[in-house]
Amino acid sequence: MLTLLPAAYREQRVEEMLSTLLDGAGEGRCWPHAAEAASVATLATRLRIGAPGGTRNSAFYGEVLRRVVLGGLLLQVLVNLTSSIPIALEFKLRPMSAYSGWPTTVFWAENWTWFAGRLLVVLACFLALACGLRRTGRVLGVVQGAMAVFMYAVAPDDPSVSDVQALLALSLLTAVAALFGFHRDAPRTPAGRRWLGVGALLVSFAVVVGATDVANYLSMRDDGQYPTPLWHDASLVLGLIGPALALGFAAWRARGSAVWPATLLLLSLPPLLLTPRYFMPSGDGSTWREPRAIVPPGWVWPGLSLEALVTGTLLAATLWWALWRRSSSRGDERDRILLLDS
Amino acid sequence: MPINSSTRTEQVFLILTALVDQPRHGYGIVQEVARLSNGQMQLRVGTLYGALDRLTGEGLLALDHDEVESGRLRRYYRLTDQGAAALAADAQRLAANAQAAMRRLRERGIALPGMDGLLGTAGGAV
Repeated sequence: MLTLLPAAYREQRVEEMLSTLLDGAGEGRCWPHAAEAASVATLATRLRIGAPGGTRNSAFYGEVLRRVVLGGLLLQVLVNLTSSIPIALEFKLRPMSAYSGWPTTVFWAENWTWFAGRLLVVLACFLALACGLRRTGRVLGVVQGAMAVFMYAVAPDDPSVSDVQALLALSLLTAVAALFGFHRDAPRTPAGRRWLGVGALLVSFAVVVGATDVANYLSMRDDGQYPTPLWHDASLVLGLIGPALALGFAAWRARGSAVWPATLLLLSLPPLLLTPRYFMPSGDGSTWREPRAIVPPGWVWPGLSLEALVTGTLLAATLWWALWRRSSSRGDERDRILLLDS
Repeated sequence: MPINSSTRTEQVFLILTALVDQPRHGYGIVQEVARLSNGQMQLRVGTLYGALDRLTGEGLLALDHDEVESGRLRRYYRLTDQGAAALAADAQRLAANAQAAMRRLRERGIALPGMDGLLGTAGGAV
């Protein structure tokens, strides 16, 4: 049972812990109680994600998990405010025949308050964790994941199911990371105010983008054309800026630590689930992205999917580079940062 | 560093209390905590050593000495001055909260468990 513990911790503690277990065991008992085994398993998990007594690797893993939670929550806020809620509102305010091939979108239009309600939970979770309220944040983290599962389960099948899957994956990743990353022995959130400041900026930005999208949609003519393609072009540019900023930030921080590259790499995984929809033929080939000329008729432009693939690949390379820098700077010394706990 | 009351648990409070009078090893702490809580709290090994790691890291506990007894290693922990001060502050805070609760219960005329009968306001001290 004690082999569950990290090797370095076991080396220091095994005799002492074994004595305590044997002293507490009943006469003739050869196996630990289930409760003892569970407590050791819990300790082993916490030690591997940054609890006191863990290795430097565990501190790294714990820090990555906590940043994945905070970053994942902000990413969900961004997606909901710029995409999910505006689209649902748009179809609620002005159902368009051009979109008649997307029945579930109408479903979400009728239930747009679910997005809004879940968004409030996500925001509350972020605020709780950024302010150091770990228990509240963990509970809310699980609640937002459960809400996402529910919404996914009740949604009818539709061509955009991979979008919902990507959001669900991001929600579940955030929920699991919140459960493990903000355990009782986890350190307090560093730079909480900075996170709050970034969150406020992002929410403001996302509200403006989402409102502009709705306004632009409502200005669309009955033939499906926009008075000006300006917003459409701008949104394509905005869609490129986000990943570019993430890559730049990861590369900058990679000079000193692998934490941010690892965090951003994990956060880049759920968008990969967008791939199926963007390589799937649409109903009439007349919707969404350009340039249509290089896409076979009836196929949707796979831009967003390719963007996710390229971003993920570059982030993986950045992480590898960060780890290599640490390794080469330590020379022959055994580098605990590189080694995974056995 | 004082105990952060928002993160301190009853388990940690009792662990610190168990070490006030003398240094103890792991199982000794488990036994003493059970005695202090009248058998209500059974510390598990994982919980105990997680708490010991945290409290040692915060400077509230320190390693005292090691002993080998009947072939078993026993590592003794002691309460530091910082730990004693933090425990005292916590005990004072809990006592004040408990007194406030008991006072209000007496005012309402609710009998307190383990106390004789109903404490009326006529003879009961506030």
